[in-house]
Amino acid sequence: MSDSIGITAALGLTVLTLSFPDPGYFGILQENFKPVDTSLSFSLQENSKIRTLSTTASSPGEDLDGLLYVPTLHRGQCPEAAGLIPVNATRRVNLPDTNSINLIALAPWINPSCTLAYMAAAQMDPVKTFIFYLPDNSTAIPPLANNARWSIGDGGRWKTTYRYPVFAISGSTGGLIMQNLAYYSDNVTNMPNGEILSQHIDPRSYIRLAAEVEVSGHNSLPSLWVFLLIVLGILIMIIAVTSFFLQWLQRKRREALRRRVISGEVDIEALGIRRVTVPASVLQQMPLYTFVSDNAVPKSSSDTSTQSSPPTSSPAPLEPPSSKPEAPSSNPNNPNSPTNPIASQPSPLPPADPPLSEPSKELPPHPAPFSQPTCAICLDDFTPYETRIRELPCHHIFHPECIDPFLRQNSSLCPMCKLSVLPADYSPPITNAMVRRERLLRRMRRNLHPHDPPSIREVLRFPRSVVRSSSGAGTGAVAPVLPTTEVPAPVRVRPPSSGGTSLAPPDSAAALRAQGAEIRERMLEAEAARAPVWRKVVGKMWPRLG
Amino acid sequence: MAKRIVKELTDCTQAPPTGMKIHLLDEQDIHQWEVVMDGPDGSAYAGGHFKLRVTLPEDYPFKPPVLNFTTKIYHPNVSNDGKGSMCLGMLRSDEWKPPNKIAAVLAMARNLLLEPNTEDAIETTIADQYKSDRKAFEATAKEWTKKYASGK
Repeated sequence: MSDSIGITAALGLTVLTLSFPDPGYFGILQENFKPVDTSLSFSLQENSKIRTLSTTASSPGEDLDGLLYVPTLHRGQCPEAAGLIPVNATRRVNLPDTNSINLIALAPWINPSCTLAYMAAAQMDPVKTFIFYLPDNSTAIPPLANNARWSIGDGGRWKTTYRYPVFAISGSTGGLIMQNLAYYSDNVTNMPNGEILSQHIDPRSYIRLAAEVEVSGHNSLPSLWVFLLIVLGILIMIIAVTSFFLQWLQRKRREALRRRVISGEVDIEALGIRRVTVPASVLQQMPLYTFVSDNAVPKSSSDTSTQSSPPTSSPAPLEPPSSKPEAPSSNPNNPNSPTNPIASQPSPLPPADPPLSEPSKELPPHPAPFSQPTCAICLDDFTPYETRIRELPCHHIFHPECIDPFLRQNSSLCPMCKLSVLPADYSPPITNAMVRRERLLRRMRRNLHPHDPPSIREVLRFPRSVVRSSSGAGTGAVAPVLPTTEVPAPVRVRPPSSGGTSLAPPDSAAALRAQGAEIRERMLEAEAARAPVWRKVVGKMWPRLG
Repeated sequence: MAKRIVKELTDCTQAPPTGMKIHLLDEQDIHQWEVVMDGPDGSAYAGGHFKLRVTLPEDYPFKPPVLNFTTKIYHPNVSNDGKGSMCLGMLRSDEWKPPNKIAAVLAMARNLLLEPNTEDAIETTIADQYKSDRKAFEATAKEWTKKYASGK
């Protein structure tokens, strides 16, 4: 049982005359209740001149209907009603004696005690609602529910005591209905137009007044909810569709970037995404062998070898005390030794590095391409014929126990020269961040250099082209691609002849690269600035494609 | 990589870089170094003794060390926020190379006292002043040096 639902309010009242057979014989069937021709009988339509006094036990939008009657009071109660209610007004006894019909009580609001007596009497009957009227014959709409006229003096407790809604109509309407309740309370023959009616209607049928109170919320409230639900549904659908579409678009872009990375068009390192690391499979294909001193005096002794010819200049002059194979300089098993760097170098499109294509786990000891006496990570010296070393594609060597964790966990760049150790056709898993970064970078480059696309591309894949050309860098003719900053100074010895010239051309490239780094820095800052949680959640749904 | 740190520390204490005294902040923790750097002659900081904290991350040398001036200093490249953070190009994590040594980093820091890098400044107002009104900059820098860095 729901208590008062405040939003219910009466909108109008309809009274009409119904004929129906005795439910005792025919049952209470909806189709048995038939309206009597309104030209021959009483009917009344009252719009808007109706007040809602109590909404107890009503529900919004559910119209209240039933047969009209006047509750019967106990003898002695409310003597004032005598003059207001016709003697033969429809009473409970004039209606079928069953509790399965709906009733609507009607009574004048004379004073609190009368009202209480009427409401208590109606409580005994299957009453759907009670309609009061002020016996003043006024045609005006009754006062508001909080008017003192309706006060019973119990602080409104009656509204919960009597579990039906209560309405009030104007005095004149109430009086009119009351008068007609007297006409339609007995046999057909006593009714207005009784003779005509009796020709059409079985005289054993009841002909009584019925009323229907139209209650607000009937259409408006549910439709509001439905409307909201529809809007919500549409919104969710829009969200789902755009989200799906954006995810799809992202996926396409990831795939496109991946293709471009593999084709060498984009250098993923240059995007400045951290934590591009080297997978174990790639790492294991990098040459691993025992360090051999090439006797080149470490560091600053510049004149002994240009780096194109370390093997020939140092055919293992330090005789190993052990029985290791000597003079591994021209070892055919080591495809990595830069035997002919000049020939292989000039083509900008690299053939995949041979040592990486075949799993070369452990190579026989041989000198490193450059003389590097210490591991740059732990600063320990390598011991000839003892220390195992890992050589990166840029030919820098390290202890495997130093470089492997670094490449696996920290970076894919050589710690010495910052060149990528990843094979040219390797693409790390492409993330959406990479796609965004790459697009942003491209757009910024386009804005910075609208007329200069080729050099921009050069910047993009710069590090890789250095890897490819590094082995021949010392020969002067091919120097331009090599940025001076990337030369691992203690190792690579620049021949005096080319020393001066090799500085100039790379400058522009280095400047471009610096510019790239600057852009990257700016973007990193920008990205760090916007990272609240909600943004991430929203980002999952609507990925930024920027 | 504690071995490397020990090695660098030994090198630094046996042959300290010019104008610097280096020791551990706490003998138990080789990741926290304290450096006393003398203001280079010919700079506004001459005569000052600046204390620096060098913090080495767990995965040093893969990650760059962090430099903080614990002595207040008026310099475009040192943050004036009580932390005294110094941002050298080589200390940025994407430019850091493991072969770089702490001694080199410190030498670079000291060089920065001689020649502030206004392009890469943290304190842009100081950098602007350095560029536009060198005299006023040097006056303030000297004053601060006297005020904060003249002790012991």
